[in-house]
Amino acid sequence: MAAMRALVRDSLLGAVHGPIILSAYFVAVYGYLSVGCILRWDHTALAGIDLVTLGLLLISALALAFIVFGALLSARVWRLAHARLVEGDDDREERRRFTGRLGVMLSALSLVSLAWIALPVMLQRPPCW
Amino acid sequence: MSLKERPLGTEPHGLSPAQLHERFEAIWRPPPGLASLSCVNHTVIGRRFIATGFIFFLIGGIEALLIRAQLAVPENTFLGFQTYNELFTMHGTTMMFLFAVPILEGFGFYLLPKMLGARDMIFPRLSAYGYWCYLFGGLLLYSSFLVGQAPDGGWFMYVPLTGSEYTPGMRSDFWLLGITFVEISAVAAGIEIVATILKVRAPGMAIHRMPLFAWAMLVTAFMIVLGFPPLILGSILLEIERSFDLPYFIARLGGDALLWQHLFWLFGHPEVYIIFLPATGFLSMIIPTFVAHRILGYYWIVLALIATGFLSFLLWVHHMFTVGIPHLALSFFSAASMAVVIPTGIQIFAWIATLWAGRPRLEVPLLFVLGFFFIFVIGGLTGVMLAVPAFNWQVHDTHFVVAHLHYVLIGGMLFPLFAAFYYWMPGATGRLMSPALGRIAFWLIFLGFNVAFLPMHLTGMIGMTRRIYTYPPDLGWNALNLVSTIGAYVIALGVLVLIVDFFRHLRAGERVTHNPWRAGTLEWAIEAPVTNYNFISIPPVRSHDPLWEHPELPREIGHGMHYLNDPSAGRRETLGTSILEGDPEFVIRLPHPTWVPLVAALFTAMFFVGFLTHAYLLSGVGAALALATFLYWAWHTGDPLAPDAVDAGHGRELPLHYTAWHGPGWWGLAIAILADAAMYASLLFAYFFLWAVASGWPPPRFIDPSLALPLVGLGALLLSSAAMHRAIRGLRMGDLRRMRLGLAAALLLGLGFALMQLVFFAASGVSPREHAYGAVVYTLVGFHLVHLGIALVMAAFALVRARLGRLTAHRPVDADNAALFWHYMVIQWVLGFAAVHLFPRLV
Repeated sequence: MAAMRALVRDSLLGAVHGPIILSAYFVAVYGYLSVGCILRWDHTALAGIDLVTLGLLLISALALAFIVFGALLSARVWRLAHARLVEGDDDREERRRFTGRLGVMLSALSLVSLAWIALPVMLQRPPCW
Repeated sequence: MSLKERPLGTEPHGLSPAQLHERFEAIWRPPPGLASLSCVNHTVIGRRFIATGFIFFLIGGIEALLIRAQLAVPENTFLGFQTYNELFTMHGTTMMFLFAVPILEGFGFYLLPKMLGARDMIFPRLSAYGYWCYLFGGLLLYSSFLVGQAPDGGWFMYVPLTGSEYTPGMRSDFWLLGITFVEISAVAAGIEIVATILKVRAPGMAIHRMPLFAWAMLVTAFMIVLGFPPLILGSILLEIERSFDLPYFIARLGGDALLWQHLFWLFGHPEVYIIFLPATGFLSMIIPTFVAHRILGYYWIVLALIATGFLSFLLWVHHMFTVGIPHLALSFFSAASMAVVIPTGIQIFAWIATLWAGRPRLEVPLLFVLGFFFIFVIGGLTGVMLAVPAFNWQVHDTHFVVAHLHYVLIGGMLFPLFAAFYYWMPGATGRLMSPALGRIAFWLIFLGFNVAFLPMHLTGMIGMTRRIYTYPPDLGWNALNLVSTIGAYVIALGVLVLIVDFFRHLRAGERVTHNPWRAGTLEWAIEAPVTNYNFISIPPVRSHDPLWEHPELPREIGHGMHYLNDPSAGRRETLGTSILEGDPEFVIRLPHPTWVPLVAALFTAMFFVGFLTHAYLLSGVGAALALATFLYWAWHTGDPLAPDAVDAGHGRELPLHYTAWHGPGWWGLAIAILADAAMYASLLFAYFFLWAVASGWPPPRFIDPSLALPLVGLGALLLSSAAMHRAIRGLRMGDLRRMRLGLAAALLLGLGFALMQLVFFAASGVSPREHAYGAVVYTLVGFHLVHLGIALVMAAFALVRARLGRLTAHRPVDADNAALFWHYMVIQWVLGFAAVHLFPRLV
């Protein structure tokens, strides 16, 4: 947790966690869908949902959770830096406010994109058709 | 009294601005005559990239005019089908690989150090090597016309058409090897641009103060580093298939033609944004200047650049909507293709808001910017139409797509490029180009473009497919095609006016000495025409538009009032700064002119020519000589007699970069590893893709039952990583004996592993030619062995340098770099081991 906080606070990588998670998510759902359809997992159901759709829903939920978590960390960095900047001029805090805000906004955009991409899964369209 | 407090006219070191200028020029001036080929200065290299790119643009343009002449009337016999195929292949290839990407990299090389407050790019020799690879690669590709073997398979080189069965001879080989050669240049430029932007900026230029062009180039360079390797890999695989019969793409032998399409478009779609994003950087620099207002939405534009960069990697399958993919997967790619509109729209609204907030001066650069808005938005809208699979199926491979891609690429790249050309030219030559001729050029290109490409939407909608060399007269396409052809020649006329204006202005253009557009960014603090050293002293930067905030800055710079103002060491120096805050960390000593990059590129060319002509001995000799040149290059990096620290000005003493852990070279290597990892990931993708789609994959008899030897090998490799780690710890503690022992142990373990691999695969009975599984496994193993070889050379090199006293705790670069590469090589095989030895047993 501390490492994740430090990453978000003091690295460029921390600001772009949202798109990184979105990219990983995209690879995961495309890969899982391809493999699931080849192995005919759509013919097996659990709680009334076929395994391909279920897996896709789980991956989507996990990715959403990660993005939200990262966004909260970024928001904290942004808020703290902003509060310190009110007290006085400071290069480091100005930069942290920038990366924190960037992290929050990129996370928001990633969330929207993820929800948009996952929409057909949430509507439970036949996965292997 | 600090330097900053010193009044103007009281110069440091007792030198006047004119004397400082002379002293710095003496250090940075490129050699004259033929020796100028050894030049490594970023201004010269940038200009060479731009000039060469423009020449290729003219060649590609002439090819386009010939294509349009052929299509002007039905059943035309002006060109035969073979020539037509060659021309459309070379037109697309030239515009994408030899014009668009290199010329934008050239602008990056030329502008970035000036904008960032540096004296040069971070790796000048790599810049020069990249340029020579680009030039020789382009010449290799075009030499195909001389031997009647020009590529004719389209710029996308789809298999099986381009495989040896349907394209015997050397046509495809020219393309595959020429493009791979050119891509070495692109990846080298990508690495250099990332490292330069992250590590060589003016003090105080924290990332939130970087010019937006630098942001655009940073994202673009990362995209090059990650996006080009899949195509490099695909090209290598196809060339190996053609030359050595390893069946990666042959369906009857367990391969799959769609693998090529995936690898190509994994590169191909980001490529569109690689071309577009630097152009957005131009716009973000040009618009504020011509409306005299700071850019609005800086945060939002940065956000949009980063988001576009990521999203562009999630769209590649929208080029493959017709190949038969599950509908749900289509919806993923369709949704991602639409989502990319959001960040692009953000940028467009930010520019419109800036135009709205200021008072526009309708100079020629702004005219081209407005042309961009009109054309690019139309291209963007047809892009959204094409992202809908149902519509895409209807117009796939028709002239509608040709119209769309030209609206996006010419609107999104060529118009901003011409705007940039007019905008920065006074800085480069010290003269203004003609506003009157510029306007004529703009209107000819703008109107000609719309006359040429707007009708193609219609011809496409009524069924005219791409890449047909003629058509019957009764399909209703005649008039529209004639109009398109007229439009193409009007564009050519506009480009001709631009060329005339360029040559005219070199002699007769109005002279300017300083910032003619009243711009706010740092490159305009440099006198016009530009000096070879950029800045007499490197100023601290505290805003996006330092010249607007602090109009005295150019005078302060010229009077040597800031960092690195002392030329007495006679060395080329610039500041190395921290990634986020831009705090000065060390002084980087840059190389002087050298022939090494040109020689290395010539030997690299020998390797490619040998491969092309199947003269593998020549190829091997070329590779060995290139390697020897790189070692010579590395050997002469650093100065054993240099002090550990120097006076950097402003009362600060900074270490030289030779003494730093994780210095510029380490960063360059780290980014190169990123590119290499993208290539390896593409290879793993190929392995799993074929497993997923090809029937009976892998053949059961190919899976060896015994894991003993591979496990021992893996253990040895992991131990070697531990030995390398111990060597580095020894070096950090100043224990050179421990370091040498660690390096030697890593070397021995690495050699042992290589031996085990060779024994194992020689005894395995797996043939790489019999089945795609064997081909991919051998490629995975071979890929890793090549990296092991490089790691062994690096470790041995470090060991020799340590023996000779050139590698010490105060000069740690060789060991620092060797360790980084070694650990990466080990991780690579851990993944390879899982794929080759564990995965087949699990499924």
